[in-house]
Amino acid sequence: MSLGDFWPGSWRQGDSVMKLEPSTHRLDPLLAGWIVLVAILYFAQFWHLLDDALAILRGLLPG
Amino acid sequence: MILLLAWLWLAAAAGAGRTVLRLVRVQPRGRLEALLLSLSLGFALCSYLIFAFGMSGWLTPIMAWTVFMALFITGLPSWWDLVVVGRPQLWAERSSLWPQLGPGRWLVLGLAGFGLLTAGLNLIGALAPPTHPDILSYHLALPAYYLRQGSISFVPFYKDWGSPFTAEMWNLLGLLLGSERLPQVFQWCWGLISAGVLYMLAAERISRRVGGLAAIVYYTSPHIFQLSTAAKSDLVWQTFLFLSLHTLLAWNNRRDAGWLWLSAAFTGLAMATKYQGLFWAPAIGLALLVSQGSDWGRIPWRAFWRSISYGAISVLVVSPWWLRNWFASGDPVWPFGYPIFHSRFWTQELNDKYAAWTQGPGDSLWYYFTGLWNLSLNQSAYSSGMLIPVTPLLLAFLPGLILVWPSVPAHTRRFFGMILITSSVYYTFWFTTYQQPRYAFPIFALLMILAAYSFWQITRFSCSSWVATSLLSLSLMMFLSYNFLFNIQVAPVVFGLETRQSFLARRVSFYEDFVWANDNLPGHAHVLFFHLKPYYLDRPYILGTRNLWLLDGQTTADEYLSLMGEQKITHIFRTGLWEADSENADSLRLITQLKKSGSLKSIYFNVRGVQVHSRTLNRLSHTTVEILQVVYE
Repeated sequence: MSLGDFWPGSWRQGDSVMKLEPSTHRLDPLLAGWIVLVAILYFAQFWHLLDDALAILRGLLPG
Repeated sequence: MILLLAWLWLAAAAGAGRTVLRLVRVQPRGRLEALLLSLSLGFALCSYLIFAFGMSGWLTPIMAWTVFMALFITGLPSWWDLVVVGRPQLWAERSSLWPQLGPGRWLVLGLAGFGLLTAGLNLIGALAPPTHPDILSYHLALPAYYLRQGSISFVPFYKDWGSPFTAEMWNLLGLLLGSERLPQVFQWCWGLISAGVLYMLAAERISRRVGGLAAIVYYTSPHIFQLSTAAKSDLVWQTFLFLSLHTLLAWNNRRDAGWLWLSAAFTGLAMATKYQGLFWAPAIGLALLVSQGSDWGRIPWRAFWRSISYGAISVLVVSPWWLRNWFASGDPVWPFGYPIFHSRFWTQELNDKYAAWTQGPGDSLWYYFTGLWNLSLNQSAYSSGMLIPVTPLLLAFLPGLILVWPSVPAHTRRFFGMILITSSVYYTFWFTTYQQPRYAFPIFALLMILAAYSFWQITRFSCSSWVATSLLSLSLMMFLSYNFLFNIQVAPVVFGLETRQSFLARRVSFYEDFVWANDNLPGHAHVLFFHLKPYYLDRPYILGTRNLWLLDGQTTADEYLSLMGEQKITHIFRTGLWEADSENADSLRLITQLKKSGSLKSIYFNVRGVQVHSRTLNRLSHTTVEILQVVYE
């Protein structure tokens, strides 16, 4: 049995239908900005959990 | 031993499921598909056998092993199909695997590492004694109740107790085999199985990289790794749901009727596992209508009967659960069908209360269209949102799809179209009801396929590539850290460094009071229990819920005592937590009067009963716990 028998599909995106070489898009910087915005807003809302995480870690230490 | 038992049972189920596949003449296209379909069908078959025997009053370990033998013998002709043969060839292929992965191979390797670490940590969590609040309420408490009474019946103790329990039949199995942790290990396996099905759904139609990324993000999400350590039903439910879509798409490609009926069966099983399966039924139904496309013009009657048959098979599969509820309460989906069926054991007041319950920020059209934004970036608007984070990757990557859409091949667009149709319908039902983020997870998972596709395309862009990779890495690291902190805390009890008793005392509300009750109440005691999590109380009980005890301002203390007498109540277990809820004002008033008149005698009073608010963050508070003895004249 080969890997192909067990795992369906091909490793890359369709290979024949999707280009794998580097590409450009004029909206690329806009998309990058959007991802950065989501990242900042997302992690900011969980920032306070850091204190809880440190408290748990302290609790795990012996003594 | 627990792992061996889990393997034995799942292997027996998979064998039986493979035989069922043969009988319905469905030929899987690969070993992975054969394994996942067989496991799911075998699991359901086992659940229904236990349900049938349980309803007939046969609920013993001998019944469990009889079911095992039935599964084992049924699976005998099919075992060979599931055994992975040809290992030398797989081993030989490993050297060619690395170049095959192409650009981004290190990322793929990292993703696999995250998945493995998560699975390892989840296994530690699954091997701890059960502490999840919903499990103690009913997922494990109701199977334990069935076991105590020796049969499965309709037990309308509270709103979730009438739910279809296909997944929980395996919890009952675990208890029958003498292990309360075995059900959690089954769910740990289902975490991997559901991720495997999501992988298969995408990998077969797009690529392994897309399937792999979607599956890893799904599996490492806090909601999913928590479910992988708890004997709940969500993972089994989601697996059935993904499989109903997978098999429908398979039928659409090949037009082999077996796949269509299999899809109908999985839709039925999704409904038979969780009430939210009812949201999925119209979603997949619309996908079926759309996927028949030109058939509606060419062969309309055939398309019509095909659709009707699909619905009929789905209903047939879920019908044992609906019939049980129907005969007992007049409501197949007790108690949520109250507005139609005016169910017994439920009231208009409670119906109104739960119909008004919601977790989201609002129900206007604005909130409908900003749902993904709120679920990702406004999580404090949901009651569980800040405790169990939802991934930011959907919101971040899905817009990238707009940029790459012109290069998306037609067959992939059709696949995405089916995901969007089912997700939109499901989301609409989810939005207009309870808005619990966990119940939206099936569509998060399906949309993650689109987001994963978008991610791999974005990696070709110069600017977006590194920010997308950074966000993916950061969120996976955050979730792995979260998982570490969640699961590592149970390591001492799993590895024998902490006793079960002290572990449970820290993580289960009122555990020490249950221990006192178990040690001191007589064996024949029948407890009126004023708390919603009875799992660790080892005595027959009945909950003091408002749907069972129809009290109002006119009810007198003598009438209440008489009702207790009819139920042969000998003791009452009550907490300050219960008393603080205005819904229980009548029972509190009556109990106070009965105490004054001497009909209730306090035999245990603890002013420092422990109420656990967060197991992970160790947030506790104290309230009173009292146990009263009923004195009948």
